[in-house]
Amino acid sequence: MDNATIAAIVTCLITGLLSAGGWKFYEAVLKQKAEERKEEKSERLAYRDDLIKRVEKLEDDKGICMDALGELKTEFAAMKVKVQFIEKENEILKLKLQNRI
Amino acid sequence: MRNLLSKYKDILVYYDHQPLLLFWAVADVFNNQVLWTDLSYWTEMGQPDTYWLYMVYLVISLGILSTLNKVEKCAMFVFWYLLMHIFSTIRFCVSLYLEPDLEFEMVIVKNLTVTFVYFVLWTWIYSKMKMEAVLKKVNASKEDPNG
Repeated sequence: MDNATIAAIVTCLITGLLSAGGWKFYEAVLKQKAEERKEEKSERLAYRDDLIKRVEKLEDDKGICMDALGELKTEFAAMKVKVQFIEKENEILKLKLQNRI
Repeated sequence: MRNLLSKYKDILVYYDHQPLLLFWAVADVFNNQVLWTDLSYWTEMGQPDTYWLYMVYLVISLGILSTLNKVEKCAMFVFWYLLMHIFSTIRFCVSLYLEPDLEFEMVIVKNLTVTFVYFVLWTWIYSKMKMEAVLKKVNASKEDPNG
């Protein structure tokens, strides 16, 4: 084997090894970046799920509060009517008492 | 002029290499000396190794043609083609360097320039294919819940 062939073989070997190593390194870098993106995404998803749960809970609480408010409104209206009747009755009683005197 | 240069850049960055690879490999197979000569022809010329070099080129070209649908395997054959190209070029350059009474000839400069363009071509094709293969691999491992 002559010197030229040996030099060519050595150059090819070095090129091959450097190329394989370089691509492996690049692949590892890309994989790491993809992993980082995946983690970031899963964190965002977890935060979103947490927000969805919290909104659902608040919506339930709001429903309960609205029911209670409805009941209070009904009771308040009934009380108002009762008070009006009592006031009227009170007026009548006052007038009756004045007439007796 | 700026548009033209920008177009060159776009061609190198965005355009696909597959049609070029297909036509090149087909042309390379049909231009291969193994199909048109035999070992005795090269032995008579005092270059029996050249026949085997062409044989390797033929195998690699056929490999490229038969694996065009599998980017990773095709990239491997392209890499072997590139290595063969480097091998031939380095061998030629070292022979020139070691030859004591070599006279400057324009044809040598022309050959080296053409070889350099081919080297850039194969490096570009290989980089594109390898990049595609690596991205495919990374995306596959990203989608795989176990990996």
